[in-house]
Amino acid sequence: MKNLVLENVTVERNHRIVLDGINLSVQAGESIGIFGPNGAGKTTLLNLINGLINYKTGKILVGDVIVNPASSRKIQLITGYVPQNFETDPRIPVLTGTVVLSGCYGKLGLFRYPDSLLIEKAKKIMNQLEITHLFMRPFGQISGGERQKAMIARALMQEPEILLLDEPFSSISERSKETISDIIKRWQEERGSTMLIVSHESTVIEKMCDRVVYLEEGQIVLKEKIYGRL
Amino acid sequence: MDVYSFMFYSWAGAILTGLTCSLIGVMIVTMGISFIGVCMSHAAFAGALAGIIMRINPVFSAFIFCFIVAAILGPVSDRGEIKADTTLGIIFTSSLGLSFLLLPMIPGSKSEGLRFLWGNILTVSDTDLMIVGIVCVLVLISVIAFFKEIQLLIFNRIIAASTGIPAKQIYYLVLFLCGAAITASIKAVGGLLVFALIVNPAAAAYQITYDLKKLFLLSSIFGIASGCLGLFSAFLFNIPAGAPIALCSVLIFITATIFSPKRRFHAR
Ligand SMILES: Nc1ncnc2c1ncn2[C@@H]1O[C@H](COP(=O)(O)OP(=O)(O)OP(=O)(O)O)[C@@H](O)[C@H]1O
Ligand SMILES: [Mg+2]
Repeated sequence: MKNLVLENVTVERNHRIVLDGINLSVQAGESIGIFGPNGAGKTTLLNLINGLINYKTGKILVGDVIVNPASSRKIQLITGYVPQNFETDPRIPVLTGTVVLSGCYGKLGLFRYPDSLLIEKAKKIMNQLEITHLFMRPFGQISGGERQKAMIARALMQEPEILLLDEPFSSISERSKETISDIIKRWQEERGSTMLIVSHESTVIEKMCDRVVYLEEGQIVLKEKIYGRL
Repeated sequence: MDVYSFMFYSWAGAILTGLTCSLIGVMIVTMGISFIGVCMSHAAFAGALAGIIMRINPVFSAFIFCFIVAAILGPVSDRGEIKADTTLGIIFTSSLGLSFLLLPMIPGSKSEGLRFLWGNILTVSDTDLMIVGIVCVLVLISVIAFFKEIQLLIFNRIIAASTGIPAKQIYYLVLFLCGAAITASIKAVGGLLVFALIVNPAAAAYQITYDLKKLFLLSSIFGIASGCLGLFSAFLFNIPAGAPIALCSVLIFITATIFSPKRRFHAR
């Protein structure tokens, strides 16, 4: 699978430095927890690795590919991204099942549509996350926690080599959190995917990650191994 | 022109314009970028006037103006940096200002310029019809070929990009087609009224279903119906067709809203 290297990466948004000289090296199959205060730059870091935003200086490598606007689509095909809570118009004409299926749209390519096999796979993943009943419901009209589960299902559907999770459990109930974090962890270990999780919850990070990174005001101020791992 | 081909041209014009605009409308409305359509239709009118004055094909110059709007608004709406209403205000007022400036500069009769304001479907030529036909086919092919990508763009443009689909390219294709549809329709329904034919059928369909496929289908039916009912009224009352076409689309929207299953559901 893919390793990940950030070398002295600096990001500016609206003439403000939001990430400042980030150095981070993640081995293939490793799982990193990222935490830090609001506005520290956690989401920016994930967007950056996904090729959604540009960086001013430094270098980012995914495997042996340098992340830049020319390679971003290649990177996006192999990274599954569960974004932080985002707004959705309740009337949006997209069903939850379609959202889950859309995880594989990039790999499927243009002019091709999911066949019954892929639909079965989507339903299986949704079943594991206990959201099969939402398949035909408009995505804008399901609850916040259900939406997060659907977005997690969507990322797993993509079978990514790198999994980026931004506060994936913030609206999910304690009980579901247990089972879903287990499912993701098992999934990641089976495939040897590399994983980055942004979370405020130390229990989640302790359970799912090999290492933690603490981000503050755009800088990494602490890198630490979690006991009993690696 | 004999009366049969005259009738054929007008009805074919009404159907093709209605279909093209209403398909574009579904994408514009569900992506929440109606303001780009408004700006384009006003810019198209200014562009047509500029064309008349500079003695180039007004449809061509209208398209160039739409293209400029797309080039300005595409990146702005992509970054989400400026609020839509600010940009809308600036482009909207500058197009109108430019139009009012250009209108008196047209030598001789102003009717050729005003034609682009309210349109006249009864005077579409075979070239006009061909242009609408080509754009219509382009829009249909794009909607069918890129349906799943368009659906993902409607869902969320950033998430669409993060999936690894050519999100930007398809977004700009939609903007390009919107400009093409507006310029192709401007002679038939006019620069100010074309926007009604884009937004109203899609908005009416949106009152009825959440299913994107049905949305495209219903919107097309409403668009064609607006075109045909409007043309029929134009013949009946002997008036230019642009206004009745726009009003018919409004009527369809109101009817759909009243009978909307969504509305009844919300009211309960
Ligand atoms: N689109 C943008 N334009 C300008 N500045 C931005 C933009 N998005 C984020 N920022 C800035 O970048 C900094 C980091 O934002 P980011 O969203 O990465 O924080 P975060 O660590 O994810 O915070 P949270 O815990 O609240 O999610 C913030 O100071 C924010 O103001
Ligand atoms: Mg964040």
